[in-house]
Amino acid sequence: MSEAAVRHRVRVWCASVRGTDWYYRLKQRPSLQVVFVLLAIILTAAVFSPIAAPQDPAATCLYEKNQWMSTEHWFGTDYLGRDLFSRVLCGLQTSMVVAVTTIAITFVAGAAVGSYAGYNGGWAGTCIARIIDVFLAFPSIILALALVTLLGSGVLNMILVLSVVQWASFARLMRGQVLAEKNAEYVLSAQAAGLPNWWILVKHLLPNCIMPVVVLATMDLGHTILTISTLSFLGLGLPPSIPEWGFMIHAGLGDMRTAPLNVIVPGLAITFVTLLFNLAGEGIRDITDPHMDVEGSL
Amino acid sequence: MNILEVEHLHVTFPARRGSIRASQDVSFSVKEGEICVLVGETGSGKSVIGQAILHLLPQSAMVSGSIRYAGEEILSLPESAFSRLRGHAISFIPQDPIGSLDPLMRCGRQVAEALETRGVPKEMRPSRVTSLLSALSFPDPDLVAVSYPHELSGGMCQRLTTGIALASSPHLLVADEPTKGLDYVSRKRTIEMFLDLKVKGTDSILMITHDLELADLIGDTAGVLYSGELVEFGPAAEVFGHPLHPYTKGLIAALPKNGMRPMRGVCPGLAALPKGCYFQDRCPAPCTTDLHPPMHDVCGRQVRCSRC
Repeated sequence: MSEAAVRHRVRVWCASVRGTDWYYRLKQRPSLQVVFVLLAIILTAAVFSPIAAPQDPAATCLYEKNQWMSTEHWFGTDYLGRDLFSRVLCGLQTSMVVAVTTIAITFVAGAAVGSYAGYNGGWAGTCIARIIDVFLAFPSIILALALVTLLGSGVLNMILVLSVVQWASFARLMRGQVLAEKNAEYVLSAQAAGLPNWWILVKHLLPNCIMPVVVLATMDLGHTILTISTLSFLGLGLPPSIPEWGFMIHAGLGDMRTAPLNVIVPGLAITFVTLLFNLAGEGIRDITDPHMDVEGSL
Repeated sequence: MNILEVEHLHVTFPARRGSIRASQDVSFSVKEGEICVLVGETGSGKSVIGQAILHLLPQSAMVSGSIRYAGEEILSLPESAFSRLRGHAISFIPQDPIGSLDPLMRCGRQVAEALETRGVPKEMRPSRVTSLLSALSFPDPDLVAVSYPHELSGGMCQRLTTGIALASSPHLLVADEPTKGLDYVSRKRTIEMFLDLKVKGTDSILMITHDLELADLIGDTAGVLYSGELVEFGPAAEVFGHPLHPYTKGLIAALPKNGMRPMRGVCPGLAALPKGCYFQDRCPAPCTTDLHPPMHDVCGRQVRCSRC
């Protein structure tokens, strides 16, 4: 092969790698790699937290209460002498289980309802849109409080309540996306090219609509964790037997002056995880959009 | 033999007050292997005719008249029966080349998709895509095939949409303003591409354009539209060489190469058309009657002017 031919093959190959390869775009963003590595650590920790926790999160020892950081208790102990590091780790699992399940339910329900309302329109679509508006007009925390009071606490009830509160924002985004894209010129030209309707929906419309919803889902994971903590802080979330960040802050509030770690450790955990999911959401948007490719980056 | 016959096509859109008559009593035909161009200014109902042929008008449009493809009435065909023609025997090149391509799908994949619906087996598709793209004078078809639409220029996207339309080797190609919004070089390339298609002489083409130069170069027959109706239809060389209707004369006099003398006035709104001839307000020698002039034969072509 001549040099020109080799160079040509390399250009074609590079172009083909660049497009699909989300990995390639990730490689160009070192800060995002850090975010994803931290996210992987968090998720692994969440899965293995009962095994990984150095001490029993429920074991009380009143002789060792409200201690500062030490080699034995990395983040100190709380007002009952329980190891704070183990409790934060187990609280992570609680938060992640509730948040991920909630987001999975709301994502599927919101995307299905929203795309139906957007694509079909008509009176059914308008009705759904108004119902979404009603849900969004309600302050979410107040709606959640009312529902929790009605249903009682517990992990399943928490998931149910959060799903009811959050599905509307997914449905609205999906409906807006489908409404904007369904009249796009490329949909018309796909029709003109004789492609069947289901094909246009699945292969053209959906990929062009779904990405902002995925980004919203990632960012909402952080938001959901925050809501769980808020509800628990107010004493309405999960039963006190389950380690949970919001409840830890609530319980530690009384000893805040003498033992600030009771509040600081779970507070920082909430901040850190919420921030991480927000950054990851933005990152996913950046690496999945071919428009973000820097011109001449190869 | 006529591959396409359009007779008394009326397209009306309901509006808040009254209705908008986007296309009125349009009749013309395209012979096999012939290139027919429809010219007219913006809002003269050119694109509506193309979309009516392809059943791509919005649901609210009221369409009447008759459109026959190879002798078969297609205007009244239900969607299920028409979909076997659309994209197969009749192809469409949409107006906006960049917007017409799916922004998230590689260009080669989009051409392959058109082949896929025609039942071309999977292992043959890549080579067919490459040969199709090189036939459209892409210097580097492999690179184009793995690119995304936003990485191509407007002219390249134009050729790509043409490629998608040609993938099914259609009998009739409807091209909607293929040179709209292109710079001089891309426009020249597009014109060359259509000239090339004409030389190969396989398809009948109905081209909708406001580019008179393009129409003159490639058209076999030409129709001039004004306010939704045909005002002149005949062999392209005669229509552009010796125009009969005062509107056609005005259009040709307004070309830069002819001294760029614009016509006076503007065309009337489609919602409130005047009685009698629609061109009367701008006509250099307006007639005095209130009767709407019919299309009539004048030395081998049809003109809608009572003075001709």
